[in-house]
Amino acid sequence: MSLSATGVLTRPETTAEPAPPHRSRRKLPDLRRWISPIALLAAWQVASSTGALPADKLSSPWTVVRAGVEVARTGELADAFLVSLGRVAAGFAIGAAVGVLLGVVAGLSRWGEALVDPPVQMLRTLPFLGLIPLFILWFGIGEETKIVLVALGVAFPLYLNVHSGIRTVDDQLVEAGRALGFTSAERLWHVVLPGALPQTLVGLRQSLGLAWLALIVGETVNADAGVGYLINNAREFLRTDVVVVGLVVYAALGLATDALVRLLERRALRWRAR
Amino acid sequence: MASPVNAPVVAVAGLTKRFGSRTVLDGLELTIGRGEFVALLGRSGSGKSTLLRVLAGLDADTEGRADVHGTVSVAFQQPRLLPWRVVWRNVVLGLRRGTSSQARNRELAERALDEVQLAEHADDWPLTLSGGEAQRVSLARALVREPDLLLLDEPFGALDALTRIAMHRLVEDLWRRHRPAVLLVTHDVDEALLLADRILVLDEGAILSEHVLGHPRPRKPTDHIDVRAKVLGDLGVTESAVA
Repeated sequence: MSLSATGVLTRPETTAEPAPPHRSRRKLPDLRRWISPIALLAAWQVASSTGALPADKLSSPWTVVRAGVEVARTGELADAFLVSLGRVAAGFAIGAAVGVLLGVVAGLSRWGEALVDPPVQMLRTLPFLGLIPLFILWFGIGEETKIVLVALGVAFPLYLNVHSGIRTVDDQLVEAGRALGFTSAERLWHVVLPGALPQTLVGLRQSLGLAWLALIVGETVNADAGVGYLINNAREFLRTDVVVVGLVVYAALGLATDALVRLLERRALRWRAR
Repeated sequence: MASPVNAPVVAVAGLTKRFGSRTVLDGLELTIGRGEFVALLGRSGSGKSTLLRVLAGLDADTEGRADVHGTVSVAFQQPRLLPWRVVWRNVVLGLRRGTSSQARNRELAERALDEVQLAEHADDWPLTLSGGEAQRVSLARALVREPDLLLLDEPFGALDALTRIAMHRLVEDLWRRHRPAVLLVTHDVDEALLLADRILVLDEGAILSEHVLGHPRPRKPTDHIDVRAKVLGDLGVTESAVA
């Protein structure tokens, strides 16, 4: 995997479009699309049952399900889940605050842009996951490194999108605000910030994707709690079933946050023509 | 701003505006009385939009005098509604906040929307409106401020012909009811002949000619057919091209 995580998640999403209409109109899912995933799952199960796929390389799907139930029942899963969620939340809060603040400063003022944009653009070219060795030297292998890593992953996409969102607000609307006698604070509140919101939400989605990626990498380096710990600990005991459970949890968390942002988009961008 | 009743709303003298080395307005003189409907015609680049922007307070950095006594509202060629505010909130955007309650604002907006026959769209999003509807909301937004001067910058330019005819009637009707002074910037001679008390032809940043229209309203397109030829002549359209 390339560590330049910016490349991983900058999907070519042009805008935060509300869920395309054809999606909601198509009520009946195409059942044919389930054939190959189920076949693959069955093949995996068969390979495991016949011994073609040894359990110390990859456990069978059924074993994974049972392991999931087991760690859920012991409370291990819930603990790990909460620790990881806490790390992402803390890192996200810090990264979002910094990214949005710098984006607003650079977006609103020419001086702000001249001062803020060059260093941010330079730092952005660094693959931030590659900074882990430095972070370990600076912050040790405790919580700080993981949180800073997440914060960094969050800050850049938010900065870029808030900045360009503000810069691309329709000048005609800003001028209409002036003609209506708006003060500059009113122009900011009624015109500029709402105008920058769609692009900001695109940034939010990218940054949340990177937040999980940063967390996974951070927890793999070292962790004494959290989903990453669950996985690494299971690896020590060749419990590939628990490893897969951990991966599924990561995937579910990523999907859940993405769904949350989509919901937010649909509510906040209601005004867009359907 | 208190001002005597019969003082002019607009008093412009020696107004000059330069963009770099280009002089767009060149010592322009203009007076508009209270409640007067003035149409400003001119070829592209004659400076008519610049004059309107100066009067709207959107273009500073001018020489000379450009005094406007009273409140000003503008309706642009594009409606310029804020897409993230429902229609009625767009209408009251220009009212000073804090001076009136939410309920009062809503009431004012509904009354203004009723005047442009859009009361049922009060809670709609602007992007769901047609071009003509959005332009009518823009008019309501301008008029709800009870302006002494209403600046119209080619507000019908982007509309289809049928909608434009309906809009002419509406503007005339609203003008008669509210009696703001109006400065209508347009390049449509017939529109000016239909609506205005006075037509000014602008050329190279100064008033080239003035035509007073005395025909009672509502007018037919054939009224002032004599003025039409003169105005077209001032605009540099030859007789053969008119015929």
